[in-house]
Amino acid sequence: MDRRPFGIALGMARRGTKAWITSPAFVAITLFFPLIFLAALAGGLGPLYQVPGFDYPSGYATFVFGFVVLQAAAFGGIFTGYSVARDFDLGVASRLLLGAGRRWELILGYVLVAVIRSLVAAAIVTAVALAAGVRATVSPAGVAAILALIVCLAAVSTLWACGVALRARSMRAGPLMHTPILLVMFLSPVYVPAALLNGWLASIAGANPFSNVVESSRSVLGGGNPDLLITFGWLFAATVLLAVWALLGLRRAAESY
Amino acid sequence: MSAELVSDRRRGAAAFERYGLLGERALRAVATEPAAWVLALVFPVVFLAINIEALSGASALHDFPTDNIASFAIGLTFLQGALFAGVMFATDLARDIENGFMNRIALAPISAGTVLLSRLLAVAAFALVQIACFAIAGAIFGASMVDGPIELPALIGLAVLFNLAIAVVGFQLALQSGSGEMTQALFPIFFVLLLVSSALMPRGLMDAAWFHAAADLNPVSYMVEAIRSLYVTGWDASALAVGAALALAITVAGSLFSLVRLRALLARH
Repeated sequence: MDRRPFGIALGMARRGTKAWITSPAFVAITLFFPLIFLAALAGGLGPLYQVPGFDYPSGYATFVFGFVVLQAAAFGGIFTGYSVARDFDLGVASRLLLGAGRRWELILGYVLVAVIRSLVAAAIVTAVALAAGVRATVSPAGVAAILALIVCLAAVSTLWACGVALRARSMRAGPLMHTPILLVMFLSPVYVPAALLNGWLASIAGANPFSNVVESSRSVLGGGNPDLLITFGWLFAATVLLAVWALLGLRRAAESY
Repeated sequence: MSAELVSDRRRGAAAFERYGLLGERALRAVATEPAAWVLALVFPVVFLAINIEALSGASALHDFPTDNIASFAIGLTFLQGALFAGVMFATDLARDIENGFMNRIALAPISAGTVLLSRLLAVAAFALVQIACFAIAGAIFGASMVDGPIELPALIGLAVLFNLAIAVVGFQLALQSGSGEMTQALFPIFFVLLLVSSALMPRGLMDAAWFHAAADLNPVSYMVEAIRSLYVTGWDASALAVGAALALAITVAGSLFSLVRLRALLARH
């Protein structure tokens, strides 16, 4: 048993990151959806920029990038949830649960893996976006804000997916891990600014905390200086709630062994 | 009645019974996975609802083909449904290979053609449920067929054909790999084809040349446009013919390849 502070979490992070970078398929799948969304939305929906009232001076590709970079972070968390489920399918999880003294560090380890994955994925998506002509005027403080958004979103999506995986303990729960996250993301201003949304979607997007996150990201990328207090307040609240969700799932999983 | 005729009829009845039993089994197998079939029915409807509100501004664009964004967006719904269903049935076939069910089929007097046809029947039966679900949801959201219910047979025919086309590609992958996990790779592949098509924006309005070229080359564009034509322009023989011909070609070619693979698989045991 590792008695160093955070020794188990760091060990888990090392193991998960090594498994990720040594498997090209896992790396590819983490990058696949954000890059495809960036290409498809920026390339295919460009004419939406001509819609009257579309107010975002940095261009449609940058507008889309503000969403896609967060999507990369969320997918990092979802795929880490898949790793938890696979650990159960392969029987590794039972050994981890039996061997770890401070079991909560297992969750922290998975979150660290997701944060590393998300930051690497976001860096690659950003490099591709810049090479493809996305232009953003971001101050160093803005870069720090975007990085913090990525880290928080990766943690939130990992904790959700971990909670599901620890209860279902099977890869078959995959749709339950990604569908709610995708829904929350798409019930926000994805294709056009919030002001151009209509009907029920406008109401839901207005109440959806993720709308605040994506609008902050776009504002920072457009050189703006948004009030990030509410955004990080939402993310902090979601992290705390979902940490409880994941820890209760961990307790239930531990009781079953 | 001659004994030969009676024997032929019995053989025919037995063959139909086998199609029915195997098809029913395939349907029952997916019915036991609510996460998969609920997703195949609900997810496309949810995305239709989101796209209607999120893309509503697009109808203000010059040369956008309709003011009714629900009628424009519903083409994607049918293709998205076909994708979910195709992955679901193909994964089920792969699972049957993994868990040894195909070994047992190989020992029974059942031909590869019967196995394939029964699966295709199950795909078509599920497609009918999806069509009803999507058409009703579309009508609730305001999508209506230009020439009314007279176009319904064309809608049903096209949607069933699209489901079969995507499913046979999945079957090919399942038979080739024999792995459910590998077969799931069909989802991202088709997901790309769905996004890089005219599903969200008419080809005539696309301003990025590379995207326009990719959408022109993508068969999914023509499939979406075939269904969309029923809702936006009314009976458009050329759009319907191109969409149907592409899907039919994929279905026939995919079925033949699947049959060859299936025969080889059954002969091995």
